[in-house]
Amino acid sequence: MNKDGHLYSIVFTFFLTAFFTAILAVTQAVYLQVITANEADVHRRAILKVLNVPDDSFFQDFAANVSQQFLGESAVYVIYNPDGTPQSYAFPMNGQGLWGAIKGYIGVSADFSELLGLEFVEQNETPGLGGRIDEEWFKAQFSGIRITPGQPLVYGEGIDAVTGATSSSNAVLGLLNNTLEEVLALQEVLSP
Amino acid sequence: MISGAQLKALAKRNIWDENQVLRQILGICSMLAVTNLLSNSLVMGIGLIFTVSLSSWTISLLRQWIPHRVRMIVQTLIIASYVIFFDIIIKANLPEISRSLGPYVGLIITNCIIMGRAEAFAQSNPPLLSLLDGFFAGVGYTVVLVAVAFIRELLGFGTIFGFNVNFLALETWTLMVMPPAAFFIIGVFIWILNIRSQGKVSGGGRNG
Repeated sequence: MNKDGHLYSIVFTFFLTAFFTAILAVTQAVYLQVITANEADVHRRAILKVLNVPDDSFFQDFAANVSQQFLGESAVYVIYNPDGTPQSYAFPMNGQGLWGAIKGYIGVSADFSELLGLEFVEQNETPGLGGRIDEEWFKAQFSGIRITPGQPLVYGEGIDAVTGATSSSNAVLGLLNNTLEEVLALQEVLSP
Repeated sequence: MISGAQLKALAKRNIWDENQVLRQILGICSMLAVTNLLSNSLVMGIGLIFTVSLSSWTISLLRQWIPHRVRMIVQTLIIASYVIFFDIIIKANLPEISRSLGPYVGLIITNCIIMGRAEAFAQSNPPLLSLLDGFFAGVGYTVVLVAVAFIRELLGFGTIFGFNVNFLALETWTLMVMPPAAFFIIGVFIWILNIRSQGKVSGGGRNG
């Protein structure tokens, strides 16, 4: 067959593509479980962190300690007191940052009066600038904050933005306020 | 087989004389993006060495059968396969680093160095030689990447590989964290290199 002919080019490219795609498909299949488990771990750690339970035994036996419930499309994670009353709730938080999606969780006390914590599982902000929203000092500022319905959180009153990363900081605050608003709307459903 | 002298010449050419970044000015995009942290730079460098070696090897193996008119598509396909393979491996085994590298791993595909070695070397040289050529080109890139990252992380964060060395608690230099800093540093590197090679060409004396 003529090496520079159309038919040869098509046949060659077709089989080469099939070959490499097959290799990648096999690799993906082999590692899929590990990758999914890694991702699930990141989420579990984040949920436990916003619920203020850094206890490793909770992580080991996540399903037994944290109950996952669905309200329509949104998930909620609940830890119960020994007497069966809810101790705290964790809600997923999704939205847009400066460069890409920001995903994370917030923890809220059982009576919805206190923000327990904030943690990210995915963010694509500039490393070293906006990416500093993922640093401990920044996230720790949101622990133990009083939630007042109808009063969005603002920077300056006990919460500092990241210097040089105004857009990312504002994105986080906007995201947090939106999520809190949605969460407060769920309060009646969760604790009648 | 490849002799020791040949190997040495190949290494010297790819790491020093024709350094991909400082001489050929290739791979600058990733040089700006990942070099504010040493750990990210190192993984990026290893990823590139892996990809450029193996894709050069594969392209060289297939060089007699690759139709000329679709060779670039074929090269891209091979490069992309290795990059995705590398991405899956680090996602599974080094999830933390995978998270911090984010989209940059996928962008290895577009790193001009890899296609540059494929076009300039692998398609007209035997497999083993191409693999080594790619390897040393990758090492040359990684050396510069890590050197730039060392300066940027030290001045921008006051840390080295995440360990705090800013004992005097000096103010860190925000510009160093941002991509443009790499421009200045690479510019200075190229400047120094040019002065050195100028000296060689004119026999060591500027007035001579």
